[in-house]
Order: sequence, then C-alpha cells, then structure tokens
Amino acid sequence: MNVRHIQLAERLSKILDAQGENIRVATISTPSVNIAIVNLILLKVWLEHLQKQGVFITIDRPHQYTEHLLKIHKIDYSKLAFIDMASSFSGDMKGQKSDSATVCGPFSPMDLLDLIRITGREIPPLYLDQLRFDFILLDNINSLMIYNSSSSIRKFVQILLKLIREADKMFIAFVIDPRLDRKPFDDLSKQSDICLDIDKNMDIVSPQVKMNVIEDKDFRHTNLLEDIPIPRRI
Amino acid sequence: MKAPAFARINSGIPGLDEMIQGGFPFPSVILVAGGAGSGKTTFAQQFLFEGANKGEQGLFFTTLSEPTQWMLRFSGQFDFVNPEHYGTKIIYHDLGLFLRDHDGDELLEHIDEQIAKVMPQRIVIDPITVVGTLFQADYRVFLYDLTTRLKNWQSTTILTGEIPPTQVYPSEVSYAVDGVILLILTEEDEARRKYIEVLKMRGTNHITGKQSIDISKKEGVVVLKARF
Repeated sequence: MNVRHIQLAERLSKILDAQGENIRVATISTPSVNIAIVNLILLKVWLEHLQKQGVFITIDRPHQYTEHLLKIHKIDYSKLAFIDMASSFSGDMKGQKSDSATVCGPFSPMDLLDLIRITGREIPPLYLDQLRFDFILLDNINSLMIYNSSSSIRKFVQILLKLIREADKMFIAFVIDPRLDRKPFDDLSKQSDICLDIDKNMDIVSPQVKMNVIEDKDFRHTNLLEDIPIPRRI
Repeated sequence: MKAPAFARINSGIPGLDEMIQGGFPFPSVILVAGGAGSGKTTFAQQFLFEGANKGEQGLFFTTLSEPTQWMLRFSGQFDFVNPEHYGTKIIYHDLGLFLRDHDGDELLEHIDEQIAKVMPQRIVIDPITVVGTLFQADYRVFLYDLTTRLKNWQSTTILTGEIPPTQVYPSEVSYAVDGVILLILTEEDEARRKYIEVLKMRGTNHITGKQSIDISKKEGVVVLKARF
C-alpha cells in the first residue's frame, strides 16, 4: 500500500468510527480501476483500525486474490470469513485451494442471501467462531449486475438491507462505479446512510457528504473532511 | 435486458481509442505483436505513462529481450516519458534472471508476488513470446494460467509478442488473450511503412483493417488515419 492508500484508510477510519452505529449502509463511488483497492482499504479499516469481524463476498474473482493481498500487506484477516461466488467458474488454479464458503456461480443472489442468513447466526466457515459479524463487503455489485437481471438485483438488495437493518450492529458497504451504470448507483445512494466519492487519486472528493439519518430519513449535510461531531439523530 | 457496459481505460496511443470504443476493456489482457522495430515497447510504455498521468499504478515486467536498464535508456528519449513516474507510478521489474532458473509455476508465483505488492491497474510483460521458447510443451497451460490470473488481479495487461518474418501473428498467445493488436512494418514502393491493425478485441465493436501509424519522438506511436 502506498501513502495515499494509508491516508485514505485513516480518513475512512475516522469517518466510520465517528459515526458509529449511525451508519449501517454506505455507498462508495469510485472508478472501476480502483474498486479492488478501495475494498482492500475498507478491509484494513474494519479489521485493523476498528477491530471488527466480517464477511467478504467475492463475485469478481476467487477469494484467494484478496487473501493474497491481505497477507502481502500484513493485514490480519483471522476475523474475516469469505463467501466465494467466483471460484467454481473461474478456471483459475489459484482458486483451487479453497477454505471458504462457496456459492455455485454468481447467478443466484438469493442463494447468497440464504448463506448470509446462516452464516450470520452461526458462522460455520473456518475463520469465525460462534460470533456474529459486524460488516459485509461485496466485491462487487457492478459484477453481480453482469450476471443477473436488474429486477433480481433490486430484490436482492432490498432483502439484504432489511437483514442489515434488523441486525444489531451490522454494516454494509457497496463500492460501485456510477460511470458504468448510473441507475443502480442512484438506487443504492437513496437507501444509504452515507455516500462517499473516492476519485482516481484515492481522495475523498465530495466536500459535502450526503448523510441519511436512519430513523426519520432526514438529510444532513456534513463536511466529513474536517473534524466533525458525532451526528445526533433528529 | 442490456448488460452493463465494460469499464474501459485509455490506451495512451493517440487515435487508437477511437478504433476500440474508447479504450481497452478493464480488466483484460491484450497482445501487441509485431516484428523488430515496429514499436511494441514504445506502445507499452505509452500505455503505462497514460495510466500514471491519470493516477493509476503501472508495473512493467521485462523478460529476455533486453535488460530494463537499456530499454529505459532508449525509451527515455520520448517526450511522453515523465521520469517522475519511474519507480513510483511505474515500477519496473526485470524477470530476466528469474526466467533462467525457474519453471512456469514458479514464474506465475513470482509474478503474483510482484502484482500483490504493487497493486497495479496497468501491467506490461515485454515480450511474452520469449517465455514460449523457454517453456515449450507447457506454454499453452502457462498462458491460460497467466492470462486468467492477470485479469483476476483486476488489471489491464499488455503482453508484447515478437513475430518472426514467417508468421502473421503469434497464434498460441492470440487464443489466450482478449485482444490482439498488430504493429506492421512493411516495404511499399521502396519505402518502409508502418500500420496498426486491431485483429481481435473481445466485447468491443472495433474498426478493422490496417491503419497508418507514425512513431514520433514527441508522442510515440500515433494512429494517423483515425486521427485525421
């Protein structure tokens, strides 16, 4: 990781830590070329800075690539479980040594939901013991849209967000490139508690970050690039 | 239902993006093949400097064509080269020594290690065809594994390929990659002429046929017909 990546991790950590449980759903827009790196940075923030445990769902590539990055960049991932939707279709030798929960291909997001429900209660995969997880990261929603109809994705997101909202402290982030398809980004943004835009230089560029306050859906506009107080629920 | 569009990245070659719907698919693996002096390494350098200027990370692997030191010394003469990107936004890694003593699997692991460290969005392997002469029987499997991994690392990669005078293009690599671009150096009317041809570009409505190119000190490889 370079200096910009570390700076972004610190900034995101500050934002997420300051907002605490007020943020349950985040939409992070960034160019496609940055999605894999932003996901890695988010994992660093949650696992290392905030000491959370969670689930990483891979759609784009076998989970071993993320595992390899976590190892190389010395991020402790002992509290991360993987759900792999790519390995069985990837033809990739790197994906052969699998110790994750797997979903057979990226074509049925509903299977994924079933797995999340089960995993959320008991965590059968190897890494987590009888613990509920704090976050879910999906790598990535743009890829899921290649393999599924927009209506099934919409339904999947609705149910997923309902699960998140019903859980005690769970958090989900969607990292998405709005330049590929604006509509899903707009839909996700409306349902998110926070929206951030990370540019090609790994800077958070939107000086005014939209913030939905969860309970009454009111909008607050807060400059998250400066030190900010924890927002009050109105 | 219409599938969402691919993400695309600019090639860095003036005039080429207009021939391929705005740029190379991201991620993808593209073969740039040509004979000696056709501009393959210059093309590859332009691709990386274009990315570096946009804030993207690049990783350049040299194999056994020429040492990195000499390649940089010559390509440093182009105006598009910004030395500030050397070692920062563009990392150069010489595979020459490693290739002499290791097999395909070890080479893949070594390449994986470098990519995981640097996390590049743009990669170049210059040239890949040398590896074919070293691995011979295992070359097809190696190419399959290499191209699959390069895409799964979420990068767009340029593989350069040398074409001997008896061949039109390096066929084994061409089947494994997502795009094939030929750089052609030919003699016409007692003069040397240069062309570019997009032979294959998956998921892309590309312009076919040979287009004239020039290689200038200022811009490097430039597509003439698509530009003017």
